[in-house]
Amino acid sequence: MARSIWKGPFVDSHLLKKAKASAEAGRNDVIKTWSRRSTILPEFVGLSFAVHNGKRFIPVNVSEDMVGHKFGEFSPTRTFHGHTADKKTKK
Amino acid sequence: MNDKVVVGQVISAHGLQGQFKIKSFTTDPDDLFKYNQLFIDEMYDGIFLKKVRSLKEYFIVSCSEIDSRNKVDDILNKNILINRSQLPDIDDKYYFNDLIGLSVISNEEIIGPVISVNNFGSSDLIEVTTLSNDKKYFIPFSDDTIEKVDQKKKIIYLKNISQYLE
Repeated sequence: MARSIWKGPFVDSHLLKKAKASAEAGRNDVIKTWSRRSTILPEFVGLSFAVHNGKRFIPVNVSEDMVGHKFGEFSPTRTFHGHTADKKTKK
Repeated sequence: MNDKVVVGQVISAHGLQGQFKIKSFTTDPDDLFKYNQLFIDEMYDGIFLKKVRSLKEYFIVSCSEIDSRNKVDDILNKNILINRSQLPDIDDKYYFNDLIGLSVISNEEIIGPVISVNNFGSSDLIEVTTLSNDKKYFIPFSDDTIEKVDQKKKIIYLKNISQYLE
């Protein structure tokens, strides 16, 4: 069953507090969090988080496309060893 | 830089005429058929795979060198490879495969080698093992953290990464 709209998106208060402080300070500090259940809000766009996956922290740079998803979706808890083949990256 | 790059894998035999099912690991699965000099592990060199049809993420293929089911049984679960030189040249971008094995240096201090490159949905991440304590860390591959990639010297120069190594 979907979450009621009147409640708004769920975000852990301690994470929201840290994110607001980081955004107001204008620094791009990495915010460490264990709160995988928190929803990514539009206010988080541009901030850097490190989301714990049970073993270590996975860096998550929030972009507009990620709004509405949960932090846990970007920090997998299972190891996947795929092949790189022709995959490319740009810095 | 590795000489060969894995682009697919043989999954199972299909029929009795030497056709077989493969899985492509390329970004666009159909790109595997752009390469005309393929290798199947150490067993076949310079072969060309002809696509018979596609099955979701798999393909049924045939090949002139492999014309019986017995020959297919010998290559089950083997990797399909290409020479690194067959990949097209790209500007301003790096193949994941080329970054693996490069040494990472930050503040003139060697941290360790890159062991994998991943993308979990947000940005590309390089996984680095530290030489000092053998721990593994993920570092974003972005302008904020990467100062320079020197592929000739096999070194990646990083900056502002102290927060990712805690």
